[in-house]
Amino acid sequence: MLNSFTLLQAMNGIAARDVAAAGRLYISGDAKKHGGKRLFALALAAALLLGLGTAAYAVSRRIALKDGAFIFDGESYPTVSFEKTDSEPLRLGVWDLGEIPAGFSAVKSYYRGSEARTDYQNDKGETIMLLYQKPTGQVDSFINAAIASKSEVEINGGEGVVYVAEDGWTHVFWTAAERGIAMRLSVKGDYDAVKLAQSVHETGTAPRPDEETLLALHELGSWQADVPTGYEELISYGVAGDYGYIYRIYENAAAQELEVYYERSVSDLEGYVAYYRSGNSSYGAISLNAVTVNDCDGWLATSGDGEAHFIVWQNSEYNMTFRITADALTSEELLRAAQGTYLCE
Amino acid sequence: MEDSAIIELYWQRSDTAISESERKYGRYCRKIARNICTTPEDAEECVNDTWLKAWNLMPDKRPTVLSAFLGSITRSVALNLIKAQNRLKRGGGETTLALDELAECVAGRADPQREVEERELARALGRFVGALPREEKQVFILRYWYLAPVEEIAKTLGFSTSKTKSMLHRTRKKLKTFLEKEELC
Repeated sequence: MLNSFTLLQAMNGIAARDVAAAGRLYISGDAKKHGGKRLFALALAAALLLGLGTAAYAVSRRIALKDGAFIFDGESYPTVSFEKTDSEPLRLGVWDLGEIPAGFSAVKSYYRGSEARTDYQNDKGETIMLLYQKPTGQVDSFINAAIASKSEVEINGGEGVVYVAEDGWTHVFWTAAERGIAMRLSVKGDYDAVKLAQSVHETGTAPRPDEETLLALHELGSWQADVPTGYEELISYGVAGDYGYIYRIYENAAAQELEVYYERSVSDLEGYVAYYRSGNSSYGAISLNAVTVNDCDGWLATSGDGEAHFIVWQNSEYNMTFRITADALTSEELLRAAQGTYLCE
Repeated sequence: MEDSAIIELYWQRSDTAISESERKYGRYCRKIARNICTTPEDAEECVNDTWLKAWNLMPDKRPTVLSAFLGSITRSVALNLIKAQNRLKRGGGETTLALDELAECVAGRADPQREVEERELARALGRFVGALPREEKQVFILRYWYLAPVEEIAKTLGFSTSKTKSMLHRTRKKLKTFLEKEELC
């Protein structure tokens, strides 16, 4: 029989991203109006052993590739850093190996808006790791392996460097110069790392949704909003089932976010917005003004000074509730985005 | 150090992984442990166990959100500790209060013959919480994942205490309905 302790333990089933978002507010006290950016500045793990204190720059159009040293507990770990020297690229894109050695297939991957990684493995357990990111600031790291050799290379027009480690790994770092993306490819074994790196190319603008999200898209449909020019889709994710939902996250060059959320209607619209009307939401006191979105009833939420926060409406034909939240859109722009929402075939 | 670098250190079996975890997430895990445990010493033990368990889990695991991964370990270790100490009803602090609150969600049409598998329940809770409106979700997670006192939640989110309690009450009612519908209680 279910008891409250089991229920408490089972809270570990709550999605990590939701736990982390709430934790950021709670632990750091860093309350944010829109729940925090999903852009995580994550380091590229590097495997380097270089002369201490040396620095050699290979400047591309947008980012600099830099050797250095990281001191920790009195020990020095060589590093490679990618430093932003120009405006960061608008979107990360999706990159993949053009030539995957026979027997290898993608076994693990993640995509976080500013960083992505895919690991390929074969039956022998040999691994190729492709990691790429937007250089949102200096990023560097290290591993504990001595480097046997270092050489400079050009990878598809971008400056690069190859490190062969004594533990059998080869690491290639380079910049995708035209796109301003920091790249790393690591491989262990008798494989031509430079050739593999040269085969890396951009295959799309947004990652393929994971299996859970695909199922949710199948159940709820793939709805798109008419987002303003300049916004690129970063990622979509969702949950399938009775309480399923979909989030689509967009961002523009100024790092302003737009979020489209939809779910099967679980209450009437009045019930849905009552929560916001009560002043309980983190928006604080807001005005809710009735609007019509393609003949459907909706509400537009604005603050006292007229700043638009979100628009919510229900499509009774599809029994779907939609909400579009934006950092920096006017009421008219939000309404336009809502009215342009359509179901993709 | 960035999360991916710390994870990389775990995968490389570098001792530095633990010191970097402590440096970056020690305060975070300690906060979780202290909300659950009855003594600071127990909380400290839970945090130390967290690094050891993370060490044993990576590889094979490669967490997508390191903070939640480590916090989840701390939470499990701490809950198991107070359960083993049989302190759930003898001064378990916020845990006792949270358990009392959650009891209203599991009472009702219970079938004593049916053992609910925790994994099944966890998946269902993930769906339930995932579908909550953002603020309601934050309040619920802070109360029943972080075991944060209601006053701290109210302060964190800028709500009054009574509003926070009211939101929690509404969400628990929804949860009870959800669990019954899912035939989990």
